Amino acid sequence: MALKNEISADGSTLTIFIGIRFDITTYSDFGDAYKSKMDSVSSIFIDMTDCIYVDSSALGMLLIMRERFGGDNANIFITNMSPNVTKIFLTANFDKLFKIKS
Amino acid sequence: MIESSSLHILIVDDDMPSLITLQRFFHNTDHLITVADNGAEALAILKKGPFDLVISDINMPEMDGIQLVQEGLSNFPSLYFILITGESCVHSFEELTKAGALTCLAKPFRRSELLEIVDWVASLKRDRKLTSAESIASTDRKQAVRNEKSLWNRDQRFQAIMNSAIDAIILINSRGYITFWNPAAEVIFGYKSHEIIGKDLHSIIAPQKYHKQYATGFTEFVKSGRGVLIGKTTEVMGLRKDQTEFPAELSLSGFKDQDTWHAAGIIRDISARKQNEKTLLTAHSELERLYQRLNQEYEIAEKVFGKVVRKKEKEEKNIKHFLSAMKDAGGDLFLTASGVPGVRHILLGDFTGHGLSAALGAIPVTSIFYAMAERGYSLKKIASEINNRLKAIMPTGLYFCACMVEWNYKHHIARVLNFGLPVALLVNASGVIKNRIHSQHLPLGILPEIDREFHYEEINLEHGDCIYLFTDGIIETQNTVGDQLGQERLERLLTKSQVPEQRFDDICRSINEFRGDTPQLDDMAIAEIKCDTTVDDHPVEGIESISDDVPAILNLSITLHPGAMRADNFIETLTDLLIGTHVAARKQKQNIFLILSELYSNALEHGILRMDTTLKSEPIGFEKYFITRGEKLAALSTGWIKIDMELLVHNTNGRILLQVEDSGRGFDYQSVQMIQPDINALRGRGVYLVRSLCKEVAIEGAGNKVKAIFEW
Repeated sequence: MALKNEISADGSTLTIFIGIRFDITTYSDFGDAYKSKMDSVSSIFIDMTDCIYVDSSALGMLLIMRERFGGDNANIFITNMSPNVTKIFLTANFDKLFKIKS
Repeated sequence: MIESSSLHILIVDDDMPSLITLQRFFHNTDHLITVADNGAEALAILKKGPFDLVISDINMPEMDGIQLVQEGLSNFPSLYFILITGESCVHSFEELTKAGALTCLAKPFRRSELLEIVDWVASLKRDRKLTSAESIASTDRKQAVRNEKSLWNRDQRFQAIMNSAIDAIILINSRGYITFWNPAAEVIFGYKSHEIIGKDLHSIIAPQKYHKQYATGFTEFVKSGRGVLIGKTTEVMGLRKDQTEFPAELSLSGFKDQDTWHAAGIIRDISARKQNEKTLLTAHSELERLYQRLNQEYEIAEKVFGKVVRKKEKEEKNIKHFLSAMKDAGGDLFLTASGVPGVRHILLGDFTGHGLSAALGAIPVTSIFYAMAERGYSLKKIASEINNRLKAIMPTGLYFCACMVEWNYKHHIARVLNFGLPVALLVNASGVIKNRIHSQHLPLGILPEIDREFHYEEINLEHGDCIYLFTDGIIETQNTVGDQLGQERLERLLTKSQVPEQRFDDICRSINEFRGDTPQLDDMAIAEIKCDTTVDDHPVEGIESISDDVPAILNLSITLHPGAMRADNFIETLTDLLIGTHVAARKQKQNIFLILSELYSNALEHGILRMDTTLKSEPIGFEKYFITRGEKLAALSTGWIKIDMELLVHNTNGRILLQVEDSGRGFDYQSVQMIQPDINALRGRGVYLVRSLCKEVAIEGAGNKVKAIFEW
């Protein structure tokens, strides 16, 4: 269930692999996954491959991350979302804040 | 050789084997043979009829050969005598010829030597030109002396054979009385030679029930020398001295002596062999029983296999597979399942072994695969779980090679994980191999835990692209000369097919043609997944609505108290419980989870924990909010949240009625406007999402009760 992350070979990209759930219970793990690495990378990828359960706190966490990573200049990609999760993100207009690749 | 006229010859020897041997020397000659086993009997026989020649042993009890010659000649002066001498003979040749013997012959001698002398006697008789015994005696003297030593050896050897034979050798005369009984007969039947010689054979060594049969047969034999048992080897029953019966093999032959028929029997005790045969028969029937049980178990395995692996009634759209098991329950497995809409999970696998062992492995693999795939777990998670379960339950050496595909048929992406199966192939519509997906990992069930970050091949599919999966059995298919099909040949056959729609059938046929009459050596399986960009609706496994007219309704009501509220995966479990295996509901899983989660969070955080939402307005505050939430939750001792749910599924449509009520004092909901929050705002999004998904959301009571209706 735990979140995983990895830095690309050139050190420019951080990828965070979200587990099955992305809700309030993942709050600490999610923060730990990027906080210390944020300064050294130029873009962050959120890989949602395994993710099934998403609620609004996940959206909140993503927004906090965005703010910390440069707000409107933040280069954050959300990838591999299932159609339903994509819809949730679109409902929240997240496509305006993040680069969404389904 | 001088033409011989027939002689009437009397052979006298107290030693029965020697007598038989001598008698046998005259088989197929014109001479008429009579035998006697002592001097007195010989003299009596001589009186009965005219004889030409007497061949007699020297050493005999009561009346020896020399006496016999003397007595015989005094009565029948024209009679010729040949004396047989052995090493123990104390008489010289001269003494013997003086006594009246024509000549003497030292044991051992060949048949031809004896017949030569007999022929000579015959010529003497014919010409009546017998001059004197000495005339030929002198020529034979040297020969006789030379033979002395070896003669004795031959007799001893003959005795040794009779004595050491493991078969009983028994002779009977025409009255059925025993005239010879060798040591083996003593051992087999338990009678000593001296206690049985001269007694009636059949009444002693044949079981009572056969007596009549033997009597009839023997009467016929005495008359004609023929009988059903003569000249053959037959299985009979023998009777020992202790009155136990035993199976025996009897070889019987008849010989004529003094115009009467005698019989010689060789009897072998076959009770040990019979016992062995019985043991073998028992073993055979035991084997037969085991084989049947094995077959039964195969049947069970097949049934188990059939139950865990859902057989597809109809061909699945764009997925084809072919399984050819060696036995009833093969080791190959093909599974497909669907959980997340738009995604299909496909597994082709090959267990080491067949039958029960494969069926045993198939149970966890299948149940894990279906359960996890249908709940929308990713390929990696499923593979990892299968690996861990197999590792835990399967003995070392039993493992599972598999290729798993997560096929997103809406976005035309396939992720392929290959655990020890042959290279999977991506072939485009014009038959060109675009990609080869080699095994990236060890087979499942070997490593105690497989790395969750393992690599998979992600393929972007174009219209008409096909993914082919194969098991070892395909690559290793042998033709009649023992060549293996091999990867290269398989690829050639695959790309040869010009019509994409027929490619799968073509390759199956090509493989069968290659194999010819060669017996199948392994389970064979092959699968095809075809990308069709024109279709985006695929059938989904699971329970469809019960019928067109009767909707499926499910009610769930649950009340949570502080302890239960602290469990953090509660909503996930509740969602699974509610939608169960309803296909139509499962497609809405993420939405249902979201609504439940939001309503529950509101009840918990605001109703029960009375959290200050304004905290969430800033990132720092959000962090504080989270920590406070945890502290309050841990300290919580009173309060409840009641969730009522009703699920109604009708065909592909469905409706969920949710009511979440908490023990809190509510809030002034009238003042809260339900408007879309600023997209950058960190709070207020949950309620908006629920409202945008649901047909109806109503806050009731003091603001501690919310009702939502979600339809699809």
